[in-house]
Amino acid sequence: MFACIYGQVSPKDGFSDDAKQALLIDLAFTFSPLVERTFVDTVVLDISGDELLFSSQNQAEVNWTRGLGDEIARRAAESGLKVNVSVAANPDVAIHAARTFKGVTVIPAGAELSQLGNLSIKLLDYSLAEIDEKKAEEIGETLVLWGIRTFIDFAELPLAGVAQRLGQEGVRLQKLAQGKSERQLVLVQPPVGFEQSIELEHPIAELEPLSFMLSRLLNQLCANLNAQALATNELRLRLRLEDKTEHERTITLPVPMRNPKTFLRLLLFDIEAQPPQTAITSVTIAAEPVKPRISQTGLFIPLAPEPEKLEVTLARLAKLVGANNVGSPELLDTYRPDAFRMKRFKLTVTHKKGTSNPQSAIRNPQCLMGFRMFRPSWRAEVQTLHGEPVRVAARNTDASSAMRGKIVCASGPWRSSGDWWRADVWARDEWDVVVANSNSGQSDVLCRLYRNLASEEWFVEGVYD
Amino acid sequence: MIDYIELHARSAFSFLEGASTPEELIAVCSELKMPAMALLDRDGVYGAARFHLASKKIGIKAHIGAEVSVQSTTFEDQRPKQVISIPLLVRNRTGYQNLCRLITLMKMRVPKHAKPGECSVTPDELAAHAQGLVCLTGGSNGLLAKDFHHRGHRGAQRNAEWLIDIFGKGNVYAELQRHFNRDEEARNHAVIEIARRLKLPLLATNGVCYATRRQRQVADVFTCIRNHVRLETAGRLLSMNSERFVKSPKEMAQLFADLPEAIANTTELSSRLEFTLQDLGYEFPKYPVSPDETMTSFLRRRTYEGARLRYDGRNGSPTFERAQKQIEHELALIEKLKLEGYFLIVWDIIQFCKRNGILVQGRGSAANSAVCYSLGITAVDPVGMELLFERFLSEERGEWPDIDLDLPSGDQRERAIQYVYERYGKLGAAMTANVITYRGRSAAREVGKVLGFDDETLGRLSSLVHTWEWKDPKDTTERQFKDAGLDLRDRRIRKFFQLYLAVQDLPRHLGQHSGGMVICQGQLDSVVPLEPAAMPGRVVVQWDKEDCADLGIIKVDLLGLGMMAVIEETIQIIRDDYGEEVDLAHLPPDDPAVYSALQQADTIGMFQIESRAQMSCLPRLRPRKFYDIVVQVAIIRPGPIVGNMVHPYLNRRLGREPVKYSHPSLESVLKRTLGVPLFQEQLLKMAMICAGFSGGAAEELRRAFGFKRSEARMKEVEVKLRQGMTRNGISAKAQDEIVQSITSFALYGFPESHAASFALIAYASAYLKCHYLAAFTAATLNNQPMGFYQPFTIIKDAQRHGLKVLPVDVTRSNWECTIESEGIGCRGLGVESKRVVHSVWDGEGEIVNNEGDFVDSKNLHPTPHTPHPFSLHLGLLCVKGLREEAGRAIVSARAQRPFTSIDDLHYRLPELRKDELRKLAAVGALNPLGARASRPLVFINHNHVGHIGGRDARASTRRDALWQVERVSRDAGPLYERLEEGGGSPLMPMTLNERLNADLRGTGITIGRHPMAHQRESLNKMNVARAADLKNMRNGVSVKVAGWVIVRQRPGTAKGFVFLSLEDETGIANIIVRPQLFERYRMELVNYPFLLIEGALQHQDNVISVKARRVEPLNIKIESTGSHDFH
Repeated sequence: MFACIYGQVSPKDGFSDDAKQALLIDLAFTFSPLVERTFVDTVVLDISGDELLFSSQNQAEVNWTRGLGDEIARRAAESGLKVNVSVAANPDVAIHAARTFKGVTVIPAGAELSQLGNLSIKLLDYSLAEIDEKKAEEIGETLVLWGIRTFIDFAELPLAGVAQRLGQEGVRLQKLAQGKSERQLVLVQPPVGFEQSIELEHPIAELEPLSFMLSRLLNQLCANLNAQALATNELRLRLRLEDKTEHERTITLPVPMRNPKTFLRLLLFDIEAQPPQTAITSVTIAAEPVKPRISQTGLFIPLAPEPEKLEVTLARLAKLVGANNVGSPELLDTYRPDAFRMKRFKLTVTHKKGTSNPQSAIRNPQCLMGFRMFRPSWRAEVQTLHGEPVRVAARNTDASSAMRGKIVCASGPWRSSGDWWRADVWARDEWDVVVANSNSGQSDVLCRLYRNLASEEWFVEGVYD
Repeated sequence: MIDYIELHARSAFSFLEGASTPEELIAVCSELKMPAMALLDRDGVYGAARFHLASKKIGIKAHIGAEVSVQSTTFEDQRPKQVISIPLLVRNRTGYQNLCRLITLMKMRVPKHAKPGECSVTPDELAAHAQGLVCLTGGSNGLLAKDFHHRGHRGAQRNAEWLIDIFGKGNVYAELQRHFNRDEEARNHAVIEIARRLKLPLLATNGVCYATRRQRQVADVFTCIRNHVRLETAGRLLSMNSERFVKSPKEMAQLFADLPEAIANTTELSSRLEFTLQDLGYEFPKYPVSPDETMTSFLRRRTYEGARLRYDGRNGSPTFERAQKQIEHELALIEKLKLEGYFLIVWDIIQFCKRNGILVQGRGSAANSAVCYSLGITAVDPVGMELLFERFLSEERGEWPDIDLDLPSGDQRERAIQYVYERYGKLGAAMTANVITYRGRSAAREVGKVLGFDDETLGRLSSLVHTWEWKDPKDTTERQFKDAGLDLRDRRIRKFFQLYLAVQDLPRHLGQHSGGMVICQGQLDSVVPLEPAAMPGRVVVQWDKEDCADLGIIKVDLLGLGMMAVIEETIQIIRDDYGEEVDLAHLPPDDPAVYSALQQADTIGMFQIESRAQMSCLPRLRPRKFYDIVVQVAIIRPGPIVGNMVHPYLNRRLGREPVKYSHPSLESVLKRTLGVPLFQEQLLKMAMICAGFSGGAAEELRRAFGFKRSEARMKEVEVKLRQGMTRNGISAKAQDEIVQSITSFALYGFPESHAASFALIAYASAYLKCHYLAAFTAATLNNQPMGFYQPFTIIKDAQRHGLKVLPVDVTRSNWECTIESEGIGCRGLGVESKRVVHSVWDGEGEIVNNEGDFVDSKNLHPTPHTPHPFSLHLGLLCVKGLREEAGRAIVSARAQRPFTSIDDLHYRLPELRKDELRKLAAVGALNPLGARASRPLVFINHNHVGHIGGRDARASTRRDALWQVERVSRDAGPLYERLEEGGGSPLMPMTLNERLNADLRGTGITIGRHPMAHQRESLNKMNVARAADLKNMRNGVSVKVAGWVIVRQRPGTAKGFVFLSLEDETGIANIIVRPQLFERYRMELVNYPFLLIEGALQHQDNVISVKARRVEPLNIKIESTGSHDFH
């Protein structure tokens, strides 16, 4: 005998699909160890043997199965779930019944068609007969053309006729409609904990005791991963705080790892960089299980730093300079000057040919010249004559360096503008100028000035070597 | 004053590589006081005609050229598929011809929409066509720039030398562009160095891509569309700055202050470029005549031969003597303008059509010519109808005449087109282009995509582009955006809106005009570049028909007209099946049946007079003679409606107001239309009479007020008109009236000759429908899509007129719809058992009469019709999704031997796909082949209900056929191979509603009862009247009607009113919805196929309509065949 629990659709119950499914599975496991997660809202359990628990002596089958159904519904209601429950000799019959009839339904063996026969054929779930979507659609169209409206219409078609026209898929489907399908439940394995949690008796406000707690949880988590021959590439830390808020952090790892010490250091660096606002009352760490990294290094390839060590180093650097200032700079494909972004540092050695950044390619080797960029650019006072700069005075932000003098030679303007569809539209005129240094004894400077055309401000962007 | 001329500009006709129209470029050029400009579009002269015309108006010299893509593989650089763009300027006519031929060579060898790089000329071809052209070394895409990147100075110099070899020393200019770009400047230095070494003149250009700086945004959007990227991800595909606009000579001189010779050379080169499109060198082909004749004498002879036949003074036609004066006048002008060849070539096409039995008729202003009438080009007698020849051809206008020929759409028209190609050669004739521009939803989608909107927002944005013809004044852009949940204050949305407006009307790609053909003496490819059209065997020129006309290229429009095909096919069916010959030229002119049908607005399926608006006018106008049909065709047009001329005309016709004229002198002109100007010719004549205009000047006036109206030109003409009228002593008030009628009318007015040509076709279609309904309906169905109504409505209308319609049947139907004589076996039970069973009983218990039609005595047409000697047999083409080759294969296999079963059909036609068999089975076309059902067969014939019992009733139900189809179309496998199935199918027959749905889904039509008839019982309980009952009701009573919405209209001229046509089993009810009511019931009115309308009956002048007060959707679940909406 099989029971099916169908969680009714109710947007008001506040459960997410995942939460509802977890509750349904938990509920099912309280009645049987043989549970199938059929759909997100449907579970089936094999209740053979439950009569020992739910039936008194000589009680008819229908009575104990109803009693079981009622009990399931009652416990579901206790959990805040509104469910339909059905009990039948065939799991698929139970599924169709639970999805159609409200409350508890018991279908005795042999009464399948009398109870489900008048159901609309549209309710027949093709996936239970393992029919792919395309084929299911084709059969569906045929049934519509044939005027098949109910389960019984289909069930009563001659088997040979169905087999000739719809093939084995059609036969399987017809058996499904007849309540005679044959299949094994695909059982749910009991969940393995890749989430570790601890409720604290006293709130923790310091790093050291937290470190102790984290270490304990991480050890257990890594042991679980190890037991399943898995690693993780993402750690999620959830701290419940004294003020009832939650502090969540996610650490994405470049390669799958399962070293608790590394994890601990990474978490601690992160917490130090982003500390919670109040004391901590509970700690949860979840790991995303993935297959571990398999690597074979070549004999003659220089050894790269171990990913774990590198990750810890990067975390340490991030703590020092800020997370946004660590990584590899990547030039952006735009005319916007000096536009780049920091991407995560990756230790990958590529040997592909012709993948060099076109922007960095030297197009004209004859014009090769180094340029030393000032970041940030120096604000400048520039005098112009007929639009051309003739004198410049500039200094850097902390006034430690300055440039002042007459411009003896200027080339430009070199004009660029872009991102006109965005709020941060930009436009600038650049000039390459030679500034005669007013300090005696110093040579002239070849530098680049630019004028922000929106603000009319001048800057020195850098000097040519 | 600095002399600088921009010699390298691209327009939007470079298709996504330029952002301004040629006119915009010229306008800026004029503002900057530049005396000339050169347009060099990418691989074409698409924009040259418009550029030339715009420049001519302003007095700027328009130099022509193109950027031509050349393969670089034979240069020293051996990299494959490198394509270089070489800017070429035309020096003289030889150069222009070479350029056109070069582009034609390139375009003709690759398919339409070839990818960049596929479309290029070889260096050898370039060398062979270099004469008369000046070559620039190009900007950043040019030959030197590319070489400079790849191989440095030496390679660049060698290529410059190569260009000199090809074009000659004086014809290569080292082009310099300065867009404030370092790389470009580095290249410029190299180019200057090479130029100095090779003694090439320097030439400054700005490589213009748009007229004004602001249009850079459009150029960037186009770049994204071209590269299928978004603005955010386009990166450096976009332009670096906005410097490629038309710069003033002063700005250019400043930019090139260090190289004044580069600026000076622009004027020097401009002065060398003698060619403009004024000097096109187009000649219309001469018609070949025997050595003892000239084209003039030949034309005269042919004209008079025809005139003697046509003007015989019989049946009210004018005498030859009366017509001769007009013919002589026309011939003299034709000879003077040397247009004999044109008339003879059109005559030759007409002769070809006549020889090949292709129906052809000239339309448009050509019908004003007695010569055209005599030559058989047109069918309307301009002498008898006193039509104005100058509307067609005048000396003053200096324009070529335009002859449009209507041909049956489809194969027949294609035959005529191919005849022209054959006769004048592939490069001697071509179709005119149709420039597809950015408009409407597609523009919204493309711009939205470029801005990176998600699909949902894109959908909302594009839905903002209404297809409604009428726009509510309150429907502001802000409101539209707000209604769609979009905030115009949002920067991106605002940007979208700006860009959407900016791309409006910019060219998107080149299409093919539906029928315009240009023909040339000699090679057309030396007049304008040719391209292959998307349709195989077709060639198009790079200009549209307006451009061709403006440049004096004569075109002949070979237009496909669905009704011509219907008339031609109807005549053929009549010939084959009725054994009668219908001569269109000699139809009885005053057929009472035709006028009776017209007066009752019983015109579904008739040409031009079937629309809802026409039908509501017909009972008022009550046509009694042919000229009334001419008026009827012309009156329901925007011109008369906007000019408020419809009601005065109808009131005068009904005697409700007196006939009066703005001035007594106009009586002769306006008498026929009761003092109301309805035709363009009348406007012309009014100007001639009132203001003393000549015919040509009057036509000039019409054009000034026509589609391309400009304020200045209108004012100028109005002054002349008023001066003339004052001279003739016409009062100021009358002058105002006359000017008012001319200005409002000239825009949309219909030429009388055109109306008359259409009226002839309308009359012919009405005659054929009234007298040969079966043939006419069959031909109409065979030529779908066409006309105003869906086939469903046409069938129902025909049935209401008593036509028996037989279903699609693989054992009898041809591919096309055919007609069957009633004598064959449709007269009742017992004549021919097979036929009888098939026609009386469709196997599923439906109540049918003995002809296969459904009995519903209440629903028959209220006016009794003479029984038709023929019934209509639906063809296999009615089955949606059945391929023509499959359908024709069924017919030809059946001709060899009848099919015995569905198995037999499948065995003999394995090419029939399963889905096709299913479709045939679902619409009942396989019923006669299906295995007999095991159930007792019941038939109901008239009042007799009985069992077929022992009769050899082979007819089965659709479900039986569907059951078998599934079996035959599947490999049974070894287990079932030999299994014989007996006793029919276990499936239940389709219900009435299922069959109706299957019919509508499978064919879009049903010969069974109208869907509304199925609801009649419940509708009766709700006191819903039938459409046919409305005419017996009083004006003003409250009434409920219900039906299937077959037409929804919101015409631009109706101030927001919406008109619906609701069809039920008895006919069509017309509904009028006020704008406020429409707003209230918009959802119901737009989305529901079946509606119940409650309102007040309007019954005036035999025109019946219901003014809606309440709208209610009807919950009828059937497959909708769609309605004719919002036109």
